[in-house]
Amino acid sequence: MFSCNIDSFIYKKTQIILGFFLLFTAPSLISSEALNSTIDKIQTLGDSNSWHGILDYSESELEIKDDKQYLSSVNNFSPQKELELSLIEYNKYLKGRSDFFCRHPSRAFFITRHISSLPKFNYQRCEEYTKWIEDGDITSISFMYVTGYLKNPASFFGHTLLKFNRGLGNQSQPLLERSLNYGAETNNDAALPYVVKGLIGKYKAALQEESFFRLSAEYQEFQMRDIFEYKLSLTDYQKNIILSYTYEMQFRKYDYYFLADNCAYRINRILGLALGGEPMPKTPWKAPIDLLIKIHDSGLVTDIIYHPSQTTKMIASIESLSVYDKKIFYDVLNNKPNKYENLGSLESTSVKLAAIEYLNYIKLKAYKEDDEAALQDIDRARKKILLSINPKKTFKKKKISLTAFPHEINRPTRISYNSLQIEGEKVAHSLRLRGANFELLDRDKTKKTRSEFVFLSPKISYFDNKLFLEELIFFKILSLNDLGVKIPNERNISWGIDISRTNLSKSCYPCSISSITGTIGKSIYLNDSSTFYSLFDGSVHQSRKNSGNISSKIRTGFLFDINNTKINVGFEKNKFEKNDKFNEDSSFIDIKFNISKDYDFSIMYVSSNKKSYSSIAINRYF
Amino acid sequence: MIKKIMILPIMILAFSSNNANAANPYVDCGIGAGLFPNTAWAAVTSNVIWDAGTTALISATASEDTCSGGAVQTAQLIHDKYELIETDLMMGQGENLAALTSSMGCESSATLVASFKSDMAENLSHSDYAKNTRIEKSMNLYKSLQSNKEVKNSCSVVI
Repeated sequence: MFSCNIDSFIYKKTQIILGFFLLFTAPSLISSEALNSTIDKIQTLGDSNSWHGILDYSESELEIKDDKQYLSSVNNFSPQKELELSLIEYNKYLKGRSDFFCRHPSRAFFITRHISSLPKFNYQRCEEYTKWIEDGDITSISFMYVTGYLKNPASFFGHTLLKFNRGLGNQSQPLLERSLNYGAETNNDAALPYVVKGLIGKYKAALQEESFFRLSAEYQEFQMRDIFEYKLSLTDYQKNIILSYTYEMQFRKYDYYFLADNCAYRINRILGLALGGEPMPKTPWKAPIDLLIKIHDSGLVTDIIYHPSQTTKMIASIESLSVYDKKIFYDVLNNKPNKYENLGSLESTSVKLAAIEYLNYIKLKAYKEDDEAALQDIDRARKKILLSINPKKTFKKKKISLTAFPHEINRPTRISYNSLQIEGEKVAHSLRLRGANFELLDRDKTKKTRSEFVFLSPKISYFDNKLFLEELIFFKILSLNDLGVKIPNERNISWGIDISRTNLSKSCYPCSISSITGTIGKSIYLNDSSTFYSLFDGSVHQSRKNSGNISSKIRTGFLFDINNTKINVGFEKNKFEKNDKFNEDSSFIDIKFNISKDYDFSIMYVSSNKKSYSSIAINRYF
Repeated sequence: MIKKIMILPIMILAFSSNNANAANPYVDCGIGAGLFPNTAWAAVTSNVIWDAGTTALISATASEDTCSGGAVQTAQLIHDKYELIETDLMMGQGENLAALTSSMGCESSATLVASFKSDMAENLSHSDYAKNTRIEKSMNLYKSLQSNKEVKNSCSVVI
C-alpha cells in the first residue's frame, strides 16, 4: 500500500515536471494527446540500462559521486529524477540558457533519440565537443584487439582499444587517427605488483586519447604485439553515443580491477550504450577476447585490418626471402652487430629490408635493456644498409596477409567434465572451470608459437564418496618458443612457470599439494602442424606422504595437428627428493578433438610403471 | 651518458636559435619523455631532458596550443616511429612515409619523396649518427625537414 502511494507520488511529480516542461515551456514540441505516452516512455527510459550506463550508475549506485556531473544530488541518487531534470535542462539548452549538454552530450543524444518529438541535439556551439568529433568528420569507429605480450604476464589476456577513423578517402592515414586507450595509472609498477594491486582495486584508471601512431609504437614495436583492427558498421546514433560518452569519460577516473573492471569491461560498457546492451557475457571476469568474439558475432564488423608487430614483420620478411638470399642473410647476421662483416654482400632490396627489420627488432630489445653500446653497434650496421638501399621503381614492399583471426578460436571460457579411471581404483568425476585462457591443445591459428596460459582455474572432484578441491591453478604459463623461422642469435628457449595446488601423484590419489614449478627446455618446429619438445621441470612443493619438498620431471614429446584434432604424445620421468615410491616413468597420449567453437572432447591414456590411468573430458565453451 | 647530458642543452639551444620563429616541439612539449613510460628508453630520454634543465621550461611554455597541431604531431611521429620512418624514407615508400607526408599536409610527389631520401641520407652520413640518442636523431631529421625547400613548396603545415 505504502509503495503504491510512493509510486503514485512519483508519477504525479513526473507529470507536474513534465507538464511544466512540455506545456508551459515548450508547448510546440509535443501534442497534448501524446503527453501520457511520453510520460510512460520517460518512466521506462529512466529505468533503462542505457540511461544508467550513460550516468555511470551501476548496481544501484553512482560509480563517481561528483556533484558537478549531475543535475540532482549524488546522495540518494535517482536516475529517474536525473532524467526529469535533464529534460528540463534540455529545454534551457535549446533556449541558449544552459551549456550543460556541451559537457554531457551523450544524455542529449539519448533523450532526443528516444523522445522523437524533441528537437535534435545541435552541438555546434559546443566548441570542445565539436573539436573532439573532428567537426563531424569521424565516419567510422574501430575496435582494436592487441594480443598478449609474452614478456609481461599481466598482458596475457590481451588488450582492447578504440580508434576513430576520419572520412578522408584515399588521404586517410591510419597512423594519424585518434585512438582511445583505457588503462590503470600504475606509476610504472612492475608486472607482479601491477597484478596484485590490480586484483584488489588499488589503482585508478582513465580513458586516454592518443594518436594511433603512439599506441602503435608502444604495442607493435616496443612490446612486439600484433593488433587486429575490427572496423564497425554503426548507425549515426550509435556513433554519436560512443563519441559523446567517450568525450565525457576522459574527464573521469574509475576504480580499476585487473579482472573485473578493466579495459575490456569499460569498452564493453561504451559499446553497450550504442548496441542497447553490453555484448560481453556476465562472467565475474572481463577478458578482451570475450569482447572481441561477441563483437564479431554481433555482425557489426565490416572489415578486419592487421597491424603486425615488429616480430611478425621481421619473421615475414625473412620467410619471404629466396633460398639464396636466406643463406646470405644468415651468413651475415649470425653474429653480433659489432662483428658484422660483408654487409655489402646483402645485394637484393628484399634481403636488405629483411636485415633492417631484424636490426630494428634487436634495436628495440637493446632499448629495453638500456644497452647503449649495442644500440650504437646496431645503428652502425643499419646506417650501412640504409645508405645502400636503392630499390627499383617497380619494387613494392610486401604486405603481410592475414591467414587466421583471433575470433576464430574456441569461445574462451570453458567448463570441463572429466572422468578419470586410475588402475585399481574407482572412477573419479571432476568439473573444471577455466576463464578466458588458452592451452597447448586449443585451436588458435594466430599464435606463431605454441603456448599456454591459465589463471585462477579450479577443479572440483568427486571420488570415493568425497567431494574435494583437487586442483587450483593460480598461474600457469608455458611458452614452447617453437618458431618456424630462425631468428639470428636467438636461442628460443622454451620456458614456463606454474603456481598451483595440484595432485602430487596418481599413486596417492587424491593427495593435493601446493607447488611452484619452473620449466626450461627446447622445442623444435618440424612443420606447420608438428613440433618436438623436450622440457625439464623443477618443483618446490609441500611434502605429502614423505614425498619431500623438491621434485623434478623430464618430459619429451611431439605435438601434432591433424585438421582440428590435436595430439600430444610423449614420455616423462618423475623423481622425488625423498620417497622412491612416487618416482615414476610413464608414456602418454592426449588427443583433443576440436569439434566446434562451443564443444569438444579429449581422451588421454598414461601408461606408467606405477599406476596407469585413462581419462575422458567433455568441454563446453561459452 | 654525462657527455650526452652536456651536449644536449647546447644542441637544443642551437636548434632553437636557428628556428627562432617556430616553436620547437622537442623542447617545448617534452617529446620523448612521455612514450613508453615503463621502459629504460623513456627513462634515458626523460633523464636527459631533466638534467638539461629544460623541465621547468616545458611546464612553463607548453600550452595546449603550443603542443598540438601538425608540427608537434610531425615531431612526435618522427620520434615514436623513428626507425620505421628512416627505412621508409630510404625506400621511398611505406605507411610511415605516408603518415609523415600527411602529417605535414604535403602534396606527395616523386620530387618530394626524393628530397626526403636526400635529407635522410645526409643525416645517416653524419659521423656521429650512431652515437646520437633517439631524440637527437629525431631532432636532426625534423630540422632537415624544416629547411627542405620541397617541404616549403608542397606542404601546408608549417613545421
